[in-house]
Amino acid sequence: MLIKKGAEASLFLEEWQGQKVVMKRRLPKKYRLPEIDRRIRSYRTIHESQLLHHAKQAGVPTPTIFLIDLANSNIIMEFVEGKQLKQILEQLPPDERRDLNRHIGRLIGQLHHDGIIHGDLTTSNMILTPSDKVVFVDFGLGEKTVELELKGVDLHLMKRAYQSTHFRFAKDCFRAVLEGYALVVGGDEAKRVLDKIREIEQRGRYISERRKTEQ
Amino acid sequence: MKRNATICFELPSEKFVEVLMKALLPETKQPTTSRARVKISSQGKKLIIQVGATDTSALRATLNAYLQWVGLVRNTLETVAQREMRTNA
Amino acid sequence: MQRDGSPHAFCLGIEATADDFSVGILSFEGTVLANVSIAFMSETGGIHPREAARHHAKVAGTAIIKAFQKANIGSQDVAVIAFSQGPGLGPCLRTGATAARALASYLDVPLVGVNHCVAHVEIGKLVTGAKDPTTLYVSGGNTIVSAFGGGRYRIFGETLDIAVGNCLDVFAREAGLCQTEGKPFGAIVEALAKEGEELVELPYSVKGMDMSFSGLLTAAVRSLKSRKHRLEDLCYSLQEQAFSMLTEVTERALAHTEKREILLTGGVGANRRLQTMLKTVAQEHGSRFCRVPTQYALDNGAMIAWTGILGFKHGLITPVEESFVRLKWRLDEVNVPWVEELC
Repeated sequence: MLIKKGAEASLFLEEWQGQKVVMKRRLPKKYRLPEIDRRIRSYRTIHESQLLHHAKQAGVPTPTIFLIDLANSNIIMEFVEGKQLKQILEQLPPDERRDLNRHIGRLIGQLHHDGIIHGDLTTSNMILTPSDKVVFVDFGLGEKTVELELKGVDLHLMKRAYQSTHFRFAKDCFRAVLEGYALVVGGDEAKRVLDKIREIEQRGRYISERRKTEQ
Repeated sequence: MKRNATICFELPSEKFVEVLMKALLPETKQPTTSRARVKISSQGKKLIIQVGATDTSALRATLNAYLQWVGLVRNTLETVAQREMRTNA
Repeated sequence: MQRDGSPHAFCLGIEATADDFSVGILSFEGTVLANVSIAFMSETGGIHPREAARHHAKVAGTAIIKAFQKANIGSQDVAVIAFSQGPGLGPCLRTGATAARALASYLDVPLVGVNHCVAHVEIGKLVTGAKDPTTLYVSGGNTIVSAFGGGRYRIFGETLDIAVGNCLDVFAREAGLCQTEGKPFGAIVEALAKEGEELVELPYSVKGMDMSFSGLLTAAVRSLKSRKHRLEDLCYSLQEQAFSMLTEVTERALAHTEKREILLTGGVGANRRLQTMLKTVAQEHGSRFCRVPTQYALDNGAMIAWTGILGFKHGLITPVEESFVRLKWRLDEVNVPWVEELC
């Protein structure tokens, strides 16, 4: 049964070895060349599986992987019961929202501390379970690296997600995320990453080359 | 400010001077560089632009910009004035 | 003479954010009467803000008079002057703003400062009939995926470094190609890409819904200098890679926002291959693909005039003495009260 049709992959709820599982299928994209399509799908399938595992080792809840079918770019993983953060974030009372965001910040800090970049931090890729656990999913765009630049981009994407989708609460949410983040990685490192985010935001605005010639 | 220059324009009308003042004033308040400062004033049909700069190249760049803009405004207003006459006729 | 927003009122818009000086005249109900552009083009293709500004100052009078002639109206019929206030290149923006201020003061009509990126979306909606699209705006200076939400156009994805158009232009220049009037670098690369056969491996860099093109450019230039590949193959590979990134991000934004239209605008939008890719995505999602015709997809005065009208009708007037240009004015900083009404 199809439970989610994303832009990149479709999720199917299935029975496997007597339990409920999610099959994540990266379907071919007709718009791109078959060579590029194959390369992207298999790269992301391998990467996602590895990163889901690494993240778990870093203490960040992720679905457990049962099977990887590289030939078809499929991953069979644990079905996580719960709601997307996107659906509930705006309904929470301010205190709970702040605490939840701090917790998310802490989890992102744990990932970064262990050299894991999620690559697509949005409120659609975090699931709040009935037992109040936050589970991170969708590591397909992730990377293993300790580069400051990529940590900055990672958090910048989180900020962007708040600004585009939860614009009423964007500032408070992101501030809480940074607070939680700093608790894990330390104040100095958090400041370095924050400076990086500012730098990144200055760049994309209007192309840097043009600005340089002008000033 | 070590380098200074003053340019005085004689213009066709007081209205012309007023329009130029309005067009250029915001630029004097938002300078492109801290190395040059610009003051604009008027006297009847005269528009006076005073530039003070820390060095010659900043002075030249600023003068060039303002000269260009004065020419631009002149051109623009002349063409629009023509258009006015033509449609009225 | 009707200056009160009645059907016979007109707005003159001036666009001068980069290489083009353009003047558009529109009636308040949205009929384009004139859209006159004069491009500054240096043969080597580099970007020279001061030279472009000098060009704009020189041609402004000509462009304005041509627009008046084309529209067949008199200066007294103009009820509002609009100008692109940002984002863009300082010297160019200042030149356009100076002309606009002078016109508004001389004609004694209100001035409306317009955000260049908002204007691209608005004219796109006007000429294609799109109501509430996910927009991909791709040019030499911008690469933005946006959609309306909560009173503003929200940015879902953008470039983390250089614009996609800039990536293609710089590559073309490195390859020793020369652009001419009517045949910009993008068109030359597109023509070469059609002759491409072999895909050269280049980096693919999508981060969330943001993209990075500088790594792609560096790798493409390196392959070029290695002389191991045909230029046609490199153009082909560069296009396929860059446009796959743009299309992936647009599709993600479309799925995320659940909008029913994709609007493609900006100079790079003239590329057929990119159009085909986006059309495919639109079809798969049951959405309408809306391509803005080139004259309205490139920087143009009509888009500024139209957005000026929308702003003016909502009382968004810019006092002349406060009409400073805004070099880094972001799309998502601008309130667009006229859109809310449509929804």
